[in-house]
Parts: sequence; C-alpha cells; structure tokens
Amino acid sequence: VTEPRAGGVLALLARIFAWSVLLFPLWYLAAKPVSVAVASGAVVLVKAATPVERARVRWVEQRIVYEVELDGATTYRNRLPPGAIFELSSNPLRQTFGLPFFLALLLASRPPRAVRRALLGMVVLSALAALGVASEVAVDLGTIVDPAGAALVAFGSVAATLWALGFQLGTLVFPTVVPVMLWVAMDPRYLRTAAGHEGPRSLSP
Amino acid sequence: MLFAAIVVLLFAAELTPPGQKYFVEPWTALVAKAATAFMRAFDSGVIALGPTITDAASGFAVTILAGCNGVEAMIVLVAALLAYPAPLRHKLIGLAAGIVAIQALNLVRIVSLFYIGQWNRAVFEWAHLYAWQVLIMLDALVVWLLWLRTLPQAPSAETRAAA
Repeated sequence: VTEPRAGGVLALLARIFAWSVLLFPLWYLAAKPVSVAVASGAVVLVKAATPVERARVRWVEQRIVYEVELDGATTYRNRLPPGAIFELSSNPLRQTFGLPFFLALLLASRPPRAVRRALLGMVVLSALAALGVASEVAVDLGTIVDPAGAALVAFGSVAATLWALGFQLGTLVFPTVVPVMLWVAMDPRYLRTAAGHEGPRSLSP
Repeated sequence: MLFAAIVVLLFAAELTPPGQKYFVEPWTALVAKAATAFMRAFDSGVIALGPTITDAASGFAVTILAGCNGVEAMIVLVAALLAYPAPLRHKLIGLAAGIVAIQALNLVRIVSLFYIGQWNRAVFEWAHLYAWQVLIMLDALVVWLLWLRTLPQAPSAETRAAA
C-alpha cells in the first residue's frame, strides 16, 4: 500500500472541494443522459416488481416523465380502457448526486488503479440510484386513484413499506453514505495512516 | 462489515414508527427550536410555528423535516466510531464531538437555506437537495478521520520485538 498523497485531513478536504467544484457542474450538465440511463434501469425494476406492463421514459423540462401502462389484470379490474397511459415524473438527480461526490473523494486521494475503481463505484452507485428511482416511481404508482378515490395499484403493507424505505434510502442514504463507504473500501490508506497502522503519520489537521 | 451492519441496523431502527416517534420527531423539533432561537437572535422577523420557520416580511417558510436534522450523518458517524477498535472513552469523546460538529453545521445549513430560499429558489433547491447533503456527510467523515488521529497508537512491530 502506498502512502497517501501529501497533506492532512484538511488538505484532503480542500482537494475534495476543488474536485467537487468541477464535478458537480459537470454532473448537472449531464443531467439528461445520467437521468435517462438511471430511469431506464429503474423501469426494468418497476416492470419486474409492479403491475406495470409497459413504461416509456422521456426527458421533459429537467425531469423524467414515465408513461406507464398497467398490466391486463389491473386494467381489467379497474375497468380502465385498454392501453390507458398514466404519466408519472421524477427528478433522478436526487438519487444520482452520489456520483460526483464519490468521484471527488476518489480523485482527491488518487488511489492506485483509480479509473477502474471509479468505474466500479459508478456502476454500484448507478444501480443503487436506479433502485431509489424505481422505489419513487412505485410509491407514485400507489397514489394513482380512480374517480372514487381508490388506488388502482394497491400494494400490500409490506410492499408499500419496502417501496417507501427504498425511496428514503435512495434519496437520503445511498447518494451520501455509499460514496464514503466505497471510498473507504477502495482507498483505505488514509485510515491506516491516521490510525498509525503503517508508516509515519502524515495526517495533520 | 461491522460498520455496514451497524448502519443498516440504526437506519432500520430510525425508520420504524417507535424510532420516528421517540427519537426522530423530538430530535427534529429540537433542531427546529435551536435554529429558530439562533435566527431570532439577529433577525426579529423570523416566526416559528412548530417545525416551520417563516419570514414575516416575505412569507417565505421552511419546514424542518426528517432528512434535515443531521440524524443520517450522526448514524454514519456512530457506526464508524462503534465499528472501529478503540477504547470506550475515546469512542464516547468522538461521539460527543461528532454530534456537536454535525449539529453545528446542520444549524448553518438550516439558516443558510432559509435565507438562500428568500433570495433564489433555484439555488435553494440545489443547495437543499445536493450540496448540503454532501457537506454534512463530509463533516462526519472529517470528524471521523480527525478522531482516528487521537487514538492511542498501536505498538509497532519493532517496539513489540524490543519489549
């Protein structure tokens, strides 16, 4: 294991900020491809786990719009016209801001094989973001009601709780906690040096 | 692995109805009260109603909800402190210092968002949804890295051999 780059915790923090200033605007500029990619992954999960037969993803005014068609049984049970389309929307940036955060952490410490680690981390974070977006879509799906106010898609209490949990995790935990966990796992040199497990201390606050 | 297990356990506990009722809701109310008291010290136009803080002049209001209370960052820090092998006294000191550091920055977050929201709604959304979430987690990370430096050093292989 090589020594961390020169400087202490505050130097690391300064580098994280510097990379964030570059990476967050880039991520925001790439909002459309990032959001469409993650939403497309989310649609696969939604179709597998909910009574959605077909779903189409569109990018409209900085948001993703999902055109969903419920499966035959749900359509028949609710006496919906065949091929009825429902529109839901979400902002997948709420689930993907962990991507620039993770890259800023990684680039600030520059571990060996950084590109490979960056790609691996982005795959993990994108998959978790897709899960978070799918949960949001499923939660929204449960809010579609008929004229009498009854939900068209009635999830069981466990399923509804799990989708709500997925939404919470997807917006609050995955984009903030997972980047840090991935960074610690991929570049543990700061921890080892800070705790005096190897070499001289190089972490001066 | 231990860290991940503690994180999952604490998040699950936080999200249960008792966790919300007996910890998250009172804690959030406390955070809202602290933020209001802080802001009223220099801005008499701030009105508080429960977790909602309103600017009397503009009518702009923010409501402190779960997710704006720093609990997630505290959970991560608690898990990191518990999972790392260290004397209990050091863990407790780290916990106290960490909670103070996270909540102090969270107070800055709430105050800044309250005024940013009155200035520009787009910047408010950006700061609220992305920037401050990352900053609070970075705060927890920095506290933890600094805490690691305060731990008693494990004897090196040479020291052990000499002894």
